[in-house]
Amino acid sequence: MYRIATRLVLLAISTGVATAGADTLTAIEPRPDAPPLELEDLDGREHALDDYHGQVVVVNFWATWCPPCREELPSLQRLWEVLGPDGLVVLGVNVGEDADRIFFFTADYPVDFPLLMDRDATAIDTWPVRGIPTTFVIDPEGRIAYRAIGAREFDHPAILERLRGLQRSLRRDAPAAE
Amino acid sequence: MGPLLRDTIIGGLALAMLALATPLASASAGNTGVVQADTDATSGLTTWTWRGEDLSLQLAQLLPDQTRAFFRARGFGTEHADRIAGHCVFQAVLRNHGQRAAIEVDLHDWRSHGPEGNTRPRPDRDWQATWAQEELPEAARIAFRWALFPGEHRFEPGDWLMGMVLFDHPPDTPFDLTLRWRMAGEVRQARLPGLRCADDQRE
Repeated sequence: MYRIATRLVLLAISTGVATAGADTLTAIEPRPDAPPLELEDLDGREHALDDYHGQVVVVNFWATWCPPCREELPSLQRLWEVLGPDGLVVLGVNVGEDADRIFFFTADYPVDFPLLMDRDATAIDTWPVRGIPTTFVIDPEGRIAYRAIGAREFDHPAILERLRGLQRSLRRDAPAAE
Repeated sequence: MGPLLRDTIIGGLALAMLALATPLASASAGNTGVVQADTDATSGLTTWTWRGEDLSLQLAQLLPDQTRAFFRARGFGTEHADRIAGHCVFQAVLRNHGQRAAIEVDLHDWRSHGPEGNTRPRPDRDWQATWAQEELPEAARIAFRWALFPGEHRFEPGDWLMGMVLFDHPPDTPFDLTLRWRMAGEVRQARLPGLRCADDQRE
C-alpha cells in the first residue's frame, strides 16, 4: 500500500514537472575539460572517458532509487539506439549501489549502454554534481559541452539535433582523407 | 513484467483516475505565485505546489513509515532510520521553469514558521558528521547524501531536481515556509502558508 502510495506521490510530482523543459540542455561556455572517469561496468570491464576521445559521450549520473533517473533512463536507451551507430557513447554512472541491485533493476529497465559502478561515490565527487540525475555531454575533444540537471527526454528532437551538431563538428574538423 | 514496472503502471493508472476524479483541495495566493494543495484520496497525503514567475516548488508529504522504510532499505539501522523519520519529511521538486536566468538556492536561507518558532531545513551537511561519527556504513551515507535535496544548488533554465527536505518539526505540525532564492543578483522570497507535516498515525 505504502509502495503504491509513494509511487502515486512521485508520479504526480514527476509527471507534473518533467514535461516542460524536457528538451533543454545548458551550453557550457567556455567548455572545461571533463574530469577523469575510470570505472568498471557490471561485467567487470573497465571504461575510461579517455578511451572515447574523438567521440561524443553522454555521461549520466543516476541511482536505482531516484524517480527522475528511472524516468529518463528509457530515453537514454533510445538516444543510444538512434545515435550510437554514428559513434555517440552513453555511459550511465550508478552512484553508491552494488552490482546485484543494479542487475535486478535492469530487469525492469533494460538498457544496452554501459552501466558503470561508482560504489564509493569517489568519481561523482570529482564532477560538478550536487544532485542526481545530472547529465553531461562531452565533446570529441573531451570537454563538457552541455549539462542537464534533472530528467530529460534525451531522444527529443531538439536534443538529438544538438548532439548531431557536435558529431557534425567532429566530421568537419577531421582532416581530409589523402 | 517485473514488479517495479507493474507497480509503476498500477500507480500511473490510479493517478490518472485520481486526476480526473479528485477536485483541487484548496488554492491560496502567496506574496508571489499561488499555492495549491492536492490531497490524494488513496493515501491521504497532501502535495503543495507553488509556482512563481520563474521558480516552482512541489512539496509532497512523506509518512514517517515511508521515510523509515526508504533508509532501512539502504543500510540504515532501526535507530538511525527512526531518528530521520522523526523529522518532518517532504519529497521536494524544485524547478527553474523560466527562460531568463539561473536561480541559486540555499536551503539554509529558507525558514519554516511553526508553533514552536522558526527553524530552517536540515540539509545533508548537517547530518554527515554525525553519520561518520556513529560509523554508519558507507553505502548508507552515500544514499542519504544523494537522496536529500542538495543544500545549495544553481538551476539553469529547464533544470530541476527532486529530493527529500527535512524540517525539525514533529509529525502533523502545521507551518508556513519562507523560500528565498537569488536570481540575476537579486534575493527574492515567497511565503507558502498552511503546510503540514504528515501524521505518524495514518495507516
